[in-house]
Amino acid sequence: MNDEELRTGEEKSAAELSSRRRVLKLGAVAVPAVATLTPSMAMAQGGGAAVSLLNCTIPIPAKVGKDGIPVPEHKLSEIFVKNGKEYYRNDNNKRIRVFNGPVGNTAVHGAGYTGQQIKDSADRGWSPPYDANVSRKQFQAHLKYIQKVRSGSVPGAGLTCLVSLSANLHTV
Amino acid sequence: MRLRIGPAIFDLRSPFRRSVGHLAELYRDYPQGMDGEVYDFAVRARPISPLRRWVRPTIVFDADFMVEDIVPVEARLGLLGFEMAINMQMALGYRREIVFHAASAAKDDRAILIVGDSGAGKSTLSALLSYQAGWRHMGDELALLTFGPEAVLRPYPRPIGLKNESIAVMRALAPADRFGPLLTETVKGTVQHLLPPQSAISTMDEPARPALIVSPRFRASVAPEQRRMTQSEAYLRLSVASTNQLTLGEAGFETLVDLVRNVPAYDIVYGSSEDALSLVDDLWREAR
Amino acid sequence: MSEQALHAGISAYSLDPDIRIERLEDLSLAFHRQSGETHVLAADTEIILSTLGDTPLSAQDIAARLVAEHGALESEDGDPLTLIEARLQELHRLGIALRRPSA
Repeated sequence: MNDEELRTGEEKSAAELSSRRRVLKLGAVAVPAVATLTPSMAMAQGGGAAVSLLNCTIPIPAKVGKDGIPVPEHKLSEIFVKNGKEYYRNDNNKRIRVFNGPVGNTAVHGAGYTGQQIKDSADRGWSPPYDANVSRKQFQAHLKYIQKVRSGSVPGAGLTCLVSLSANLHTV
Repeated sequence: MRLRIGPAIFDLRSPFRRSVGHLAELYRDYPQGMDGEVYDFAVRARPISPLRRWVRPTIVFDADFMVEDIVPVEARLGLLGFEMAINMQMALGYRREIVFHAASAAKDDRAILIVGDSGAGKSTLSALLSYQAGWRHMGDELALLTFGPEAVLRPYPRPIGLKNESIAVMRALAPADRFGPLLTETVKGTVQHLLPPQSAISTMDEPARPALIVSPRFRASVAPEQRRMTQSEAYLRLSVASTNQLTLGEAGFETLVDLVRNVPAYDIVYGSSEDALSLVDDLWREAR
Repeated sequence: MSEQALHAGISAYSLDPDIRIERLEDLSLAFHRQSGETHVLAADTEIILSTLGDTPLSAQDIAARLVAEHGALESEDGDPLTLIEARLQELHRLGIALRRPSA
């Protein structure tokens, strides 16, 4: 996905929204809520902490397909290597290129991005964050995954970070 | 000593003369001596052990609401410990209003709410607004929002906790006698408290209607930037910036929904205090 | 619940009366009075939720209502009915929708 495609994706979803009267489109997998706030979160912070794009984290699964869909657990053992690249066959028997999560990203604990990294990347035409140590293609798969989580079409974490981010990405 | 800050009465005690002196100095403009009244919160300082009153004196604090990771402080930083303990009582114990980890300031009967993480520039912006741009200081750390569809912000003006570089900035703008002692080598670096203008303390019972919400972020040498938050984003950001909103049930939910529907919220990025003030100025002109 | 659904043992869903939904300009919030939880609903959840009320409805009933209101129903992949059912199950799991029978 280059930045052209990503923009088209944004426009398409806007168009879908406006034509909701004619065709109602549903996401692929059911995630009803993008975030849930519980009473225990207020006290857990010991004084309340604002979510800022700078500090919030969006986790990325260890293995993500080029289509942005995480490789399902029961398929992880079926990942195969061809010409030095990883692939798996999805439930429709389609061969999908597999990318690792951003494990080398020093800005976060574990595999993921900070909201700020994604925002900055958007500002630079969606090139990978400098400090994340990921390839362009790998990053594009991660972005597709983020878009899918944001729209609720795949389950994922990142909660308030994603909601903050969604507004940022829409203005790009 | 017993004193009132905004709507809450505190009972503060310490065996350390220096801390008491600092407190008396810093809170000299606040209503005091309400001995016959019921206080809301008590904060007591005591030496970590009897011996430590004299040898490398170290203070711990006893109060109704404390989190476990509050560490004992050196006696010379007793003021900082008191300030943290006082904040903790309001943040965790106060339930008459929604408490936000935020600064607030007013012009006439309308107010700006400034939310952000520690270090985002709340205190500095808050100090600049009151000492440079003529706003009425309402608080730099915690903001109190009443319940209901026409919720108002109640002032909770506290000594402004300036850190590191912002100390010099404000020394150039505020009278010398409004500053507390310089506290060096604290966990947050160098800290100095700046008393709000006397007028902010004498008007601390006058609420103001929220008209603008901003979330500032300082980034050295960048062009100023502003971005409107969506309503759900503003809801989430404010909800988690509150220390009690999620525990206040439907009243808390309803009040915050009304707030984000009626009051515009912006992310602002600034590289200098001039930029910050002019961004706020621009947004304020559009706010109603 | 439609008679058909009842006999076929198909689950039917209604909105938990303890849920309060507030629609904001972009997304909607669902507040659960009993648990104090606030859910920020995904963009199309609101649409499914708007068909739910006190009377239990099956996924099929809901699909019919959505078609009547929106003209046609499409999903990214798979059967829209399956997706509606899956989403209803998730709403049930979150405590937003009640399910009958609970089998």
